[in-house]
Amino acid sequence: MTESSSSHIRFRGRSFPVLAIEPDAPIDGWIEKLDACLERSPAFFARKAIVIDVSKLALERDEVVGLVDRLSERRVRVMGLTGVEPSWACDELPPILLSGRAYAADEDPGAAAQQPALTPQERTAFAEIGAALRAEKPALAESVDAERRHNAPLIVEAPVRSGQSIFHPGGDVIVVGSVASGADVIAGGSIHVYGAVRGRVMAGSYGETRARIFCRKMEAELVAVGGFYMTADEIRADLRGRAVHAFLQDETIKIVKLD
Amino acid sequence: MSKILVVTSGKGGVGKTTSTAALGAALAQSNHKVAVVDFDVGLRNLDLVMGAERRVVYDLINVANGDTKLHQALIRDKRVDTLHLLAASQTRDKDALTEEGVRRVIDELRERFDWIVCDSPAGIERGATLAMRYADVAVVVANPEISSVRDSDRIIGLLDAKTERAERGERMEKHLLLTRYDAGRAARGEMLHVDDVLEILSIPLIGIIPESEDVLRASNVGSPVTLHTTTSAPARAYMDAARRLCGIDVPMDIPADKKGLLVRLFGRRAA
Repeated sequence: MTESSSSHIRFRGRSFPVLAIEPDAPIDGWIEKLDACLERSPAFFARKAIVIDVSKLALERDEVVGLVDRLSERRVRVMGLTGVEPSWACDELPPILLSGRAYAADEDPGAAAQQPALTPQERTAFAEIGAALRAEKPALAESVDAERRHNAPLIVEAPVRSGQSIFHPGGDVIVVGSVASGADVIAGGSIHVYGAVRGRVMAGSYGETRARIFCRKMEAELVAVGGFYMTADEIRADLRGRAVHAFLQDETIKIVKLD
Repeated sequence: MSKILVVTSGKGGVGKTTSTAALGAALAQSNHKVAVVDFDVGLRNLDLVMGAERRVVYDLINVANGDTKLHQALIRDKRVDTLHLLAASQTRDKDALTEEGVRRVIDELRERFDWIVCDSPAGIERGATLAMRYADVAVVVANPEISSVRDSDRIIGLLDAKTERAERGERMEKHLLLTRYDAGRAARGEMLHVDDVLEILSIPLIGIIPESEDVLRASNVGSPVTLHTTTSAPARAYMDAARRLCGIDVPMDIPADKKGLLVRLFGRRAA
């Protein structure tokens, strides 16, 4: 058995309940209503995590940028945007969030996500402003939760080329082919590569520390499991080019030859 | 049926333009009607390598914008009747190309030629993506060194994603052309071996062009190497590659000028 040490910078997927506001058309009218709300309770949005959900509006990118600007002017700090194309991501827009889940006002999101629940006052306030803004019900976006995901594996039956990125937060990724230098494979679960790994492979990227990486030929630029990573320099020379599997043991990535 | 062939690589300086000229000429020499099109708007070179730089009046941008008729812009080669050049504009840049304009030119070329060979600019930006946009077949040019191979890998990914054929869900035919190959240096471990490149890129090999001074000499006198010194090792390698493009089964070898250095690589085909 062979092992190497890994660098200790942790990253982990966590889910938090946030207030998602859903503007409705026309935007100008909605902003007027929002202004009216803010007049009644000016500090409502102060220091709160706010996500804008524009999925029900057919907006152009420039219009969304404009909407974000107008909210910023009203001191609404937008931490994320949902309901738009992931390809819209740019410096002018807040980070784009995917796969949010809605909760009814009386449901306790905290229990499901094992996160502290909202205080009753906060919940009442959410319901109130939701009603005021004519949203059907206040929605709480929830990001990915490692424990809850039991999705099917993603099977990639072609080489992953340089510059391509395979992202499958829901489970394992199986690549029938090689992962080229300059390509990324990021999985919520384990990663299996029936070929050479020359790019970056990140298993358990939502904090699943039991995830593993298997490959026929280890030449990776970077290997990460459960938030711990190891660069090519740290991988022992005698493991390069070999069939190996990598896993986390005592917060250290272990790479072990398969043959 | 006409075929649109894009010669691309990602990295610059690996031999795209040389290969476009050589393959275009080789196809024309076997009586195919061929148009070679320079997509390197702003940095045109194909006219020089084809020896037609003094006859360029209209260019690709003029035709794409409808300023001129295609037949006015096409330059017929003086050596081979069936070979034509559509030059790029040197005074404009890649933003002058539009998808719609390129499509019109390509459609019109399809009606008149058997092979339309598009010389892609380096990089992965507009010029390169438009050059590959309507292609049926791609020749990915790579040198046996890691940066070239990684860039080629990136281009193969784009060929499978950004071309019209890929968007229709059809298979994009891709071939690897390994240029500037020196069997001796590969054997000494000073450059990547053919097998290493094929293993990384996993696309079929269409030809191995040996490193040779004949290529440079031909370029400098404005002639595709397949027309300049037809018996030289690189010329033979390009002609074999052109035959393979036409679906003819030609055994794969690395043509060398000195006998005994001939390395045979029969039946080498990757996934």
